[in-house]
Amino acid sequence: MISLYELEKSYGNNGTTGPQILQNVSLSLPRGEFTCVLGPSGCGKTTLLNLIAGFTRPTSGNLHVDGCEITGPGPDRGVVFQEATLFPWLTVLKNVEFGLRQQGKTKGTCTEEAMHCLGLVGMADQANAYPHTLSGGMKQRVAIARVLALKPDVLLMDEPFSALDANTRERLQDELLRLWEMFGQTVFYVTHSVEEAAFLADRVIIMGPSPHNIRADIQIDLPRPRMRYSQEMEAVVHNLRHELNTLPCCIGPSKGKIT
Amino acid sequence: MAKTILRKMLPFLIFLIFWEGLAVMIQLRRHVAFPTPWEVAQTLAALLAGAPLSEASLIRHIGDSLLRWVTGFSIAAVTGIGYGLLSGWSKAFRDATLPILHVLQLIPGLAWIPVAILCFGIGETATISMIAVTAFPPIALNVLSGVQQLDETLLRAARMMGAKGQTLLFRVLLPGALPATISGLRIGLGNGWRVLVAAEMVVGTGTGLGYAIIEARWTLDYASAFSCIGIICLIGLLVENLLFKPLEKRTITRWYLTRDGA
Repeated sequence: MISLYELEKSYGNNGTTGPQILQNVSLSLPRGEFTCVLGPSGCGKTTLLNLIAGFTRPTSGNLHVDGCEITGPGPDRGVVFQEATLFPWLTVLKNVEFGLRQQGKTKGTCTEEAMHCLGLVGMADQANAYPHTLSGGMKQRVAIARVLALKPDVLLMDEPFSALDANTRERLQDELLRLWEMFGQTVFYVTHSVEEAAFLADRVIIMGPSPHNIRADIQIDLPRPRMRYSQEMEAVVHNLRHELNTLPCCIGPSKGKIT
Repeated sequence: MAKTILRKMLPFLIFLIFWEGLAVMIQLRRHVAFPTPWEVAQTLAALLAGAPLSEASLIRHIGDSLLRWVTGFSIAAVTGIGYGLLSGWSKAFRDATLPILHVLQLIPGLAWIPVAILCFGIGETATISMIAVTAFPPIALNVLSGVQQLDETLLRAARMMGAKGQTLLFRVLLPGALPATISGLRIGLGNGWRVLVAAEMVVGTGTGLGYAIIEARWTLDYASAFSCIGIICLIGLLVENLLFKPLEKRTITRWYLTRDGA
């Protein structure tokens, strides 16, 4: 269970107040729920994800995971970035082992667990390849394996498949759902694709620019496994798109003047 | 095959022809014994066979120069990489020290002679300290820029996986900054080598290639001086081809395929 209470985040340092990105954001994400965050660019989706990940600290407000305050990043909250961000100087296997080594496990255990996770994403054959030899989709699979190896309760995903071609993206969405059904993590998934949100999520949060960041909180009750193209799906997509269309475009010169 | 060898040798051949021409011209016009490539080759062979040069063998001069170089350079490499990582890590430390480094970089190596002599007296330590102080800034600055250019999300990914402190420093920052580090080391090594030879000419160290070159002047043994210059070039080429090229192949090429592929 992740709970965010009256979060505020503005950029700027040393007393100067920069643009306020998030204002008065309160949310709770129950354990095991797949939440998609949808909204136009610049409205603070990634900022929110970075706060939960612990990469940045809120200007004010509280963040808790299972009752513990978030003070920094940690392996309990695995992050999959838009780019795979694998270490180019390590092989695929060593990349996945990296997090396991930090937990003080023996070399043998690390290799075994890393290979298991690579197997889960179908990348075991490429264990000894260097990242630059892989395609974008393969890299992102390794990035997922790397996070799975940490056995996190929470998966934070920042437009993880948006840079991939449509076919690869759909394949990876299927695999993500399969893994999520297998392990039951709490997923916080940032996207700007309405179709992706409708296909993946239990719940869609629509964000807009501050001061009212959370514009809508919609449950998606479609049964799983879902079809990508069905009338029910069309209806959900239509509904989400309708909500989204009421929002102004976020990127504007007035953003800094709101405060 | 023969064609590629020829192509690789071509710059060397052009240089030899130019040198031969220059030697002949100067001999004709100034009536001084400008050594030709052939004479230098003969002298070099004799020197390598053990003929004395300034009261020591050529091997001894080479060995002493290399030892000073390696010692001074090692000091610069360790402190330079350490400085680069630390200042990439801590903004406060960087702000407090970086301007000093930029100034240090502007000082020509030989300008350190009085400082080195005041600090250490005439001798080995003075020479080594000059190498270290001239090789240090390019290494430090390159490591720093490598750290600064490192993708922030790589660090985030590492921290997300639980990496802290030393692990971040040595397992993420250092390898991430390696391409820049290698070019820093390359510049530092070249700087150090040049200042070494020059320092040996001025700080009378008694041995070393620089010392041998400047001493050969007194006996009008220009062929020996030229031989020493040849050895200096050869050592530079060997270091480039036996140290830096393989190092790059093992790291940068293997990781990135090409630089823009990163």
